[in-house]
Amino acid sequence: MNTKVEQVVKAILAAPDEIGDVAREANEFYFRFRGHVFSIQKRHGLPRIATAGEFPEEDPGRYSFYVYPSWDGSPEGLAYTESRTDQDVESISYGADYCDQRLLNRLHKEAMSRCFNVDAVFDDILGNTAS
Amino acid sequence: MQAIWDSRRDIVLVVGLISNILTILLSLLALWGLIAKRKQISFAFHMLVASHLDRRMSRVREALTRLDSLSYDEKTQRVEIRNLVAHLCGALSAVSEESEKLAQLVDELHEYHLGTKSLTEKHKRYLLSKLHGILDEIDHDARLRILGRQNL
Repeated sequence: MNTKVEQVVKAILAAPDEIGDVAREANEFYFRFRGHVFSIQKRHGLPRIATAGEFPEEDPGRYSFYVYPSWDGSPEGLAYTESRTDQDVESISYGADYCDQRLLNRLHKEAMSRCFNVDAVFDDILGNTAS
Repeated sequence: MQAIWDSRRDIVLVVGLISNILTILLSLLALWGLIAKRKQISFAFHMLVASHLDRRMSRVREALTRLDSLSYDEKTQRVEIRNLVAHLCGALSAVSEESEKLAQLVDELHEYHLGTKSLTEKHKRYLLSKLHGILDEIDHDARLRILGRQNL
């Protein structure tokens, strides 16, 4: 596949320490990376199947990666705006047609572990073991 | 001339008397109908109320079917989902006195509609199935009430 989107996702995964300001809203994690705001969403339900005569939609897959080119606020503010208001935020979503789902799965896990500060738990355990 | 005038006045009096008697008889008949056929009248009234409730419920179920076909995971569908939730809040508020469970659910829907709680696909599905269950109960109760009236 190796699309531009996939290259961006790989770049984020290559520098996970630069993922910051992670905010969670249900099954979606919003974060900032090198000054830009993105989000990674995991779907719990299966995507809707187009009925006969209906133009088939693109396959969103289990994970979708969102880019917000015009959002200049915080990821937390974006999470609130998208989930609780009718404000239309400019965003582009990339699903299975654009990016390897395994990469997006890794990104989702990375954003989740940043949000839950899992590193601190690991460091604590490894630090205790070392001493 | 005077004799003709007198006979005309008598005719008017007689016609007036007959019409008054007829009015009294018909009023008595109507009263008897109301008392003797009160169960049938009450049943007809309940049928009217039930058909009104049925129409409202079918509109609510249409909205639920549409809501079921949408996914909150799709951001482009979120505005329509919120609009449908607002529509349901309004439509169900009017019938929320039918069931305490429904009144509680309408309060919950209000929170999602006003944005004090954030909706998810999982919550949406939970609300939908709960709402279907409550509406089935209301339908069932309404039918039992009608059957009860019919058997009186």
